[in-house]
Amino acid sequence: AAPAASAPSPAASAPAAPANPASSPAGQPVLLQADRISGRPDLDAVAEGNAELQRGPLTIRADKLSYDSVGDLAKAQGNVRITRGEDRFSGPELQIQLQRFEGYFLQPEYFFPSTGAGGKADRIDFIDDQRSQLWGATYSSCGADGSGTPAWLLGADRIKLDREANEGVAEGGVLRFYGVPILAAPKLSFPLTDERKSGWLPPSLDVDNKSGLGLGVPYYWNIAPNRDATITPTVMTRRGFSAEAQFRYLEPSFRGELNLHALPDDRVTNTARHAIRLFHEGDAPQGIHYSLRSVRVSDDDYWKDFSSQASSWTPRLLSTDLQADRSFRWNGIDATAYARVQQWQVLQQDDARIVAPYQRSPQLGLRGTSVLGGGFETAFETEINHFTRPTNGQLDLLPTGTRLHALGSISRPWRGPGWWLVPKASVNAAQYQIDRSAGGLYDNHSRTIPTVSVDGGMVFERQATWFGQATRQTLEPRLLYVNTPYREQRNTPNFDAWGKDFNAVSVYSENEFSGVDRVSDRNTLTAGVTTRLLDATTGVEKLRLGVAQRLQFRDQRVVANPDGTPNIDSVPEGAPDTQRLSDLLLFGSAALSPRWAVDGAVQYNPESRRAVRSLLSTRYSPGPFRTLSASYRLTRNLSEQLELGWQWPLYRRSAEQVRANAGACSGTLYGVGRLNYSLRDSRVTDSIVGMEYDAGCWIGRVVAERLSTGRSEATTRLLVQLELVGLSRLGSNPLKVLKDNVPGYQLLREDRDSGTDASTPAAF
Amino acid sequence: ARTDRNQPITIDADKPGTVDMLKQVVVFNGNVVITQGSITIRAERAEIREGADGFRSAVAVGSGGQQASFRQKREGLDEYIQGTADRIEYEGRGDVVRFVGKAQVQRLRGSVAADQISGERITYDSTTEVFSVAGSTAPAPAEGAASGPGNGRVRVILTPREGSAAAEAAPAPASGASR
Amino acid sequence: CGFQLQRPPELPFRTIALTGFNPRSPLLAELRSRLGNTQLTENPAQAEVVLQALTDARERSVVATTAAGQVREVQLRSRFNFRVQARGGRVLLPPSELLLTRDMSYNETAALAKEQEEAQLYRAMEADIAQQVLRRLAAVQPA
Repeated sequence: AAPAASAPSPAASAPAAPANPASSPAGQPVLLQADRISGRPDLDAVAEGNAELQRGPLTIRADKLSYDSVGDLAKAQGNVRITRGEDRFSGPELQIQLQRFEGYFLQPEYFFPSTGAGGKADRIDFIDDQRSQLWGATYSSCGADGSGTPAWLLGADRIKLDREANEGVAEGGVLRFYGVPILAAPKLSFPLTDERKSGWLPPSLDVDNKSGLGLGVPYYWNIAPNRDATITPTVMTRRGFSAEAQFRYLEPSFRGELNLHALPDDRVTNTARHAIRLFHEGDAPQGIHYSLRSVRVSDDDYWKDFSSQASSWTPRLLSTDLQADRSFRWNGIDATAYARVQQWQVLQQDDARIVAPYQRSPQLGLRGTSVLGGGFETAFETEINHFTRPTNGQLDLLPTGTRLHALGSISRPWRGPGWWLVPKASVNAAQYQIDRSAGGLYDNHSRTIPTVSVDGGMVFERQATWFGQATRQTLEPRLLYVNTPYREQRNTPNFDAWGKDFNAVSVYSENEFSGVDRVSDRNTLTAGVTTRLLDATTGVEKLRLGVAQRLQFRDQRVVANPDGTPNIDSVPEGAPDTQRLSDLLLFGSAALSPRWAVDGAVQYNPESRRAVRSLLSTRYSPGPFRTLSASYRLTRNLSEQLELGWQWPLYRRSAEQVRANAGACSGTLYGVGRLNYSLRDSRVTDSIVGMEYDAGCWIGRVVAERLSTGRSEATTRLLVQLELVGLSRLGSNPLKVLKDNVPGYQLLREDRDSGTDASTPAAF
Repeated sequence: ARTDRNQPITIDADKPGTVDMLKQVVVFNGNVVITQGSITIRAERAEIREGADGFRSAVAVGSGGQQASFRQKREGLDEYIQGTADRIEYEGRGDVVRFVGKAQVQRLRGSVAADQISGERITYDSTTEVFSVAGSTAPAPAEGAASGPGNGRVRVILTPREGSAAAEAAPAPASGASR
Repeated sequence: CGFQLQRPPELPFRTIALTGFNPRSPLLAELRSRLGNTQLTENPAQAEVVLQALTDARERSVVATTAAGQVREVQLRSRFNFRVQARGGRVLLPPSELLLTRDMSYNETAALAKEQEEAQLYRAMEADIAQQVLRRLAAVQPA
């Protein structure tokens, strides 16, 4: 992907015109201060002995300063220092016509606080207050910390600066890193401000075991203020030539982004490979909001070979999703009409097949809520869905068909200070029209399942002091009674139902399944209590602990298996009632101090006396750029995962060396990374290990990423990057990888880092 | 103006002048006003001396809060040089006036102060029209110290004249510009 | 043991403006529904208190996958960064961040159902955030 590049103005920024012309009277007054001044009125004045000249925003200091009133010409000799706004220049001799800011500066040195960088030049010619030229100029953010030559240095024969056109052009530019020239560009342009500018971005370097060495040189095209594109031709040693394009557009009524990746002839597979990723959303007339998100790739192995272009958080399930909805109010009902087409592309793999989810082609629906008289509230949702199977060439015998369903509910909520009671009656009715019934198991059928529920709870509060701090402690008991009769659901297909996780949210919901096709038959009472500790002054939640359990008055026949798949008639007709108490849920999270955060949840099955699902995670971050996190996740016979994440300084130059050098945390080596170990597969599923060396004015990053793509197969990638603080980033961009994957990872250069989009490119 | 030095000197004071034979000096006290041509000097005390070459020189000294003041018209221009200091020395022969001790001199163009000069010692030679200002002999203050006239630093504010390059090049000044 | 029924937090001001939100943001709707008798004005200049949303985002990251790239566990995060100023611009609450996370198991086959479950978890987190924001607003002194 195009690397981030931000190169704010590296060279002299010509001084701005006087604040605003209107305010300056006929020639602003010139203030001279020195040890000795002599001169003739309206003719000239000579100031000696650490003289200082000020006029508007411009200040000149020198050993000797002379000012000729007639020509408005200032000459300065000896230890000349001039400041214009933030930028500072110093040198032996300066001559300048103050009003037009025209003149020259010999052997100047300059420093720009905005980029923390500066340099030396043989000479600066100030043409006017917008344009200037530097001859034999150098630029680097490595201050003269007494360590001889700066670590990196951009030298150029001539740099022309035009603030009005927001362009700096360096001719004969050579970038040296510890004296070794790593980049030479005869002509090199860069923006002086943050505005976007077309031009070549720094090249990106990528090494991985599937494509070999990949070198890409992106070109940023600033088409219009609201449209831009980045085109990256890339050469890969193993696979040959490929190109990547990203096009972004922002129009008044719609906006979006299109990413294309094309590899005409992949020398490894001798096939053409491509990927398309589109995001488009907009507002049509009459308040219709629509959006299209689509990801399509050329073949099933695409996600393994081009993981950097991975375009979906589920690497092997790529969705195409067109949605439109319109909200309106119609005599007392807040309603939303919506339509949707959802398709899938599943990247199959023999040793780990994925059963594709159903496609909605299309889905049309109307959902609404309204408040009736007497405190009654109703909610309804009616939908028609045509469920089909993905067609990418696999034999698939699952049933397809059309489902018309209606969910309705009416409730009478009572709410008082600190308590609430909500009795509710709801119905889940569905009519199925089967196209292909896969072995005659299903036929056209309809069923209606009513549910009655009463949800009540109270919130108690008291002042308490815990760990020596004034806190408010709440105690929140809650009860939920649900009664849903058993209805035959074996003869209706299951298009979209799946068991919910058993957590603090789902424990107080009526249906054990999400989706419409399965409704768990229940006669249960769920009881639970949660206590929270809140900081008395700021209201921040310091600690939350909760427990909940469900009491079953009748055996449940429509149950979700541990892995979530619906299981109907798990208990044959008339079998004795067995399980009285459901699993016990314990959950808690704590942010006891700014350094420690702990989170945990356990779902304990009293019968098997074993945890069904448990999550325990903790994060320790004592300071910036220091974080350690560990978490253990168990879902009985589905996944058991251990994760470690860290960003920690491994070697820190001794304190005085650090103080001597301007950079706050320069000369420090950081270890960064995250390991994900799957205990079930007893294999590291994916891992990122990296080193970052921050030498104050440059940061070197080496990140190795290993993505498991099969039982015994993995893609390993090496990303090398050199960031010259104040200039730009060279090499591929591990930042995005680190930021997305290492919990609590903090960028070493947060402020001047313009993030990962190529918004302010410097073209080389 | 240049003709001032051969104009007659008139001196008014509260008390009559006393002659100090020893120093060949005439001393006046109490609201002394010395005028010669376009020059006017006011002070609490003044000593007038007549040099062998016939030119007179005056030393005017303020007292308490009241500094001595000096005013002279410039040759051929509607401009005045006006200044105050603890002690003002005027030499008729070279038409040179020296302001010593927290000196402030202004050049007035009509009613507007064109240049403002302040420092410990200012000398103005009206024949060559050269002014020079020096700080006190105290060591130069530390770099960071406020650079004001008080601590050995001198200040001059120059306002470019209407026709000078500085004024022309400035974009058409808004109506509010001061002359 | 000192517990009594919690009174819902009453806000010590009459008018409030909510700025910086994406108009379709579910958290904005949640906050609006909990303002009780405090009046919401569109124009921040007229409001006694202005709550400005700096970041209002739903985030998701994969935390567990199988060896063959199948997603098995997802962490959902609701992040809300806001600050509160009085009418004159005086800072009542400096920029602060509320970050809630919930874990959800995942299986590609259940994409449709998991989408609904994810939405339910996000709504629960946003309700919790809205409650915490209200509690902080109640502790503010606009006078």
